[in-house]
Amino acid sequence: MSAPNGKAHWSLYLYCLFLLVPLYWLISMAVKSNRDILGGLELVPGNPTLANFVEIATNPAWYGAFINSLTYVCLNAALSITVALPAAYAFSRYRFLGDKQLFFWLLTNRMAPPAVFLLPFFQLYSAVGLFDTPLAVALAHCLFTVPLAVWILEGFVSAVPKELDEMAAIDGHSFPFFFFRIFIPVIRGGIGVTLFFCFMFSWVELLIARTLTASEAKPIVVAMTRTVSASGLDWGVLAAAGVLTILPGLAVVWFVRRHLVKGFAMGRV
Amino acid sequence: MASIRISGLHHRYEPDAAPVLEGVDLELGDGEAHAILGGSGAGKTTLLHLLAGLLHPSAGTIEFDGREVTGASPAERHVAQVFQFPVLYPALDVAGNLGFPLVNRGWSAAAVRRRVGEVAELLSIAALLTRKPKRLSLFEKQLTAIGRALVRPDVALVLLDEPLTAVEPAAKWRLRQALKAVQDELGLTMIYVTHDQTEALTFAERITLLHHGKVLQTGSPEALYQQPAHEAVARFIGSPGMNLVDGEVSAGSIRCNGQVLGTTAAADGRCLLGFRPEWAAVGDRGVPVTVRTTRALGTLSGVAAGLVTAELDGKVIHVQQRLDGLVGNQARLLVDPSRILLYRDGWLVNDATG
Repeated sequence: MSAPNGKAHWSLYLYCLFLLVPLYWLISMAVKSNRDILGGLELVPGNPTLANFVEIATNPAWYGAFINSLTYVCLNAALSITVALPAAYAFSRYRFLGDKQLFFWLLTNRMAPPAVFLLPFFQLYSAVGLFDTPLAVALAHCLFTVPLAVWILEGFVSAVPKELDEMAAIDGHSFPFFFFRIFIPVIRGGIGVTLFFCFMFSWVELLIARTLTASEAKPIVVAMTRTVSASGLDWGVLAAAGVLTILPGLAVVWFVRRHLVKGFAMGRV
Repeated sequence: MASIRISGLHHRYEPDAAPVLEGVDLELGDGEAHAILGGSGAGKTTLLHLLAGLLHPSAGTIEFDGREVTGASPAERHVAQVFQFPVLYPALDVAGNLGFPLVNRGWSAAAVRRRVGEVAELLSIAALLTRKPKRLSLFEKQLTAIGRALVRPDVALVLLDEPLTAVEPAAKWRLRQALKAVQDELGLTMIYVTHDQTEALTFAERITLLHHGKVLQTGSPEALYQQPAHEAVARFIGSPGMNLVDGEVSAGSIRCNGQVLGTTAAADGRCLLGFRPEWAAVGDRGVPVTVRTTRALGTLSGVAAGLVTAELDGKVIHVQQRLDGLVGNQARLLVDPSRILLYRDGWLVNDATG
């Protein structure tokens, strides 16, 4: 890559500005009162206030929704990795009847829009009493995140030379010792990237989350679409919730940013 | 350290697949440096896996010091292996990598440190002990990998799977010297697998040539060069390889194109005549040949000498000799009669002791 010249710099700044305007608007709305928001065009908030954030932190309907979301997202990520890591190892290291077919057809779930699965999920979870629990949403999301996780992890597993497995065996380590103490640390970057994608899918997914929950396990994305009170829409609180919803994603991206590039380079992401 | 005995080893990966190893017999003395030489697909790596216990043979037995280990797990065999590409635990520094096998066997921290220090000293990598693998050159990584293999004092056998492949040519020689020095000093039983005859000839006391899953010959480097037991060995060893031309034996004399080249006790019939480039001379007597090219490689006793490439019955032969007196394309080939080797159905049939 050549050194960026002045023109390239400007186009980059313009692009960033373009991306950041909506974000800035969201943040500025989050620190304004409803009256200021509806009052007129204001580039810089005149009377900044944290009242909206206080409302979220003290109202169980709001912070409960955050907790619900984080619960099923974490459950989903943990379940996906637990299931996908052994699967990816098997696909990478062993040859068995139909392995290539199975590996490819794993992706079929992702070829259908999630809406297709709404009805069966709703009916099934109602029947077994899982409806309106974070576990229901986590399990439903696994249908989409597990194949994705297997694909991403398989690339990372295959990038580890088979000799590492052989060396550990020759050194006299048992397979569980090798897998947990040697292998997982080696591919922790890949696990991070996979967690990121599971997290991203589950955190932003709205349709399934809304269908499989009612009141007890209402997630934040749903809470945000249903916040119409007697006094109309509560713009400021909504914007504050939006800001808070962005934060976990930012944190996760920050942790895996280096490995993410590697994942993209491998063509699996 | 251990002596190794392999007998009748067969291996196939699938029950109905072609065998990768077919009846391999091999005996190694305690502290022997042994090379297994063969092209790709000869079964070298499979043999190593069987020795390490990563695979179990379809038939045959493996004994370490007279104790059968055919079905034993890698952990029970006390084998160490150095791979083609250096494999190190990326999260550990050099000292951590060297000490890992010991830590897992319950050594005390002080004992591990002492042993790691000794091994690092031996390979002159003491200065690298605190570095992480990603800050090492390929050469240093492979040295560390070799150190890992040597660190356990109870190691019975060290397996080296083409350890110089990944190392740049300039460092190859140094690494080989380091390996050889360690082998001499510790008296380790080592099996060195390679497809490079120079590596095998310079490293090993004895060499086994493996070809399509069968042992063609086991012997000293000199024996493999002077008396190849099979024509594949004759072709494989030497650069250029041995010349092999059509001929026949009739009434005790070796003939080629009607010319008598020597005498033998072998039975009558057609056979291949084998001779090294330096055992023959192109001149004005012997079998007619067509000279294609001559390449001067220096002088011999003040006379230009080099490699003559000629054609005999459509087969290319190489002869190493003086280049004076070679005029025109038509010449004649004479071979040292005491050194002609006769091959029938691939195998050596006469015992030319030159």
